[in-house]
Amino acid sequence: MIKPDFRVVKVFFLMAAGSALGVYFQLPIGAVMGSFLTIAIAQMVGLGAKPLQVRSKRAIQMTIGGIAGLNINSELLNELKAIFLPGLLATLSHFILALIVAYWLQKVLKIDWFTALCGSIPAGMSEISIIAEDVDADVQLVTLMHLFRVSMLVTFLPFIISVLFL
Amino acid sequence: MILVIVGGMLGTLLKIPAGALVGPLFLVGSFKAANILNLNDVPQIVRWGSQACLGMMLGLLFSRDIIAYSKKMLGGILFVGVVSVLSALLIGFVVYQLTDLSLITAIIATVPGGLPEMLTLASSVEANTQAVAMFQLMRIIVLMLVVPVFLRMIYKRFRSEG
Repeated sequence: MIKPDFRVVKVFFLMAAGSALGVYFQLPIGAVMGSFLTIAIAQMVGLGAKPLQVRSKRAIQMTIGGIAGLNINSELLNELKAIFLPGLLATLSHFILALIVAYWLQKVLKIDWFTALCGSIPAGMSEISIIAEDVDADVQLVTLMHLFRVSMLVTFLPFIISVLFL
Repeated sequence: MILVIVGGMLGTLLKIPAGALVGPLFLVGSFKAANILNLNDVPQIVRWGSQACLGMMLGLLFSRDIIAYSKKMLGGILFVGVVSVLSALLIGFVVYQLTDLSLITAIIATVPGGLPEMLTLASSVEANTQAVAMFQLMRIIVLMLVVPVFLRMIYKRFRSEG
């Protein structure tokens, strides 16, 4: 007989409770932030739930992509022309900054060069983890660096935007 | 719904970076831009549900192992996060000066956060989601084209020297 995994129930309860609190207290992107903070804290305290399977992740990403697609209009091509060069400039700036941060991590924290580089370059977390494996970097540390970067941005950026600009 | 599923499958099969998200984004977007699809928004419950799931997806990546890292190492990891936030504001301001985008859109567009997270943030503060998607995609695609070549090149040189 298969034993029910109560961690799944706990995760869903925490997700629902966290997102409801986030919306109730009117946090910026409250549903995301509420469920993220609740589950991340529970995981660090010892909830021990496994990350979502690829199929579930894809379903979430597809839904988010579909909803965002509703905001696209016929001005897309004109807009693309206008933002192409600034977009490249921003990407180049991120890349140069990543090299500087990696250099600092290597010099000060003695993290090996490839781990520092893979952890600092702001590309997709899963894609970078695959490359990290190829160049013998510490994949767990690389993933953690990307996770912290995205988490900090998700947590603090909405507050900064709502305090400074809204 | 069909467009989302077909777009997600296409994006994944064609191995586009973040294909499961980008596929539906462009397929739904193309139908919307061509005025074939006359849907402007989804029910609030769907929006909240997807956002809550996104938070769960990110939260589940954390584990107790994080506490095992030394304080110095965690400090370094936090430093990378702080630099990301500050650089996002700075680069966003430069992009704002160079384009017609609003400051909020420019900042969200240039932030090196995840694509789904930034799209969600953009739509919740009524920023230009289209521009945010374009900027974020450009960063991911360019870096995913350049970084593997760059890293493998210096790795080969490093191994041949050492």
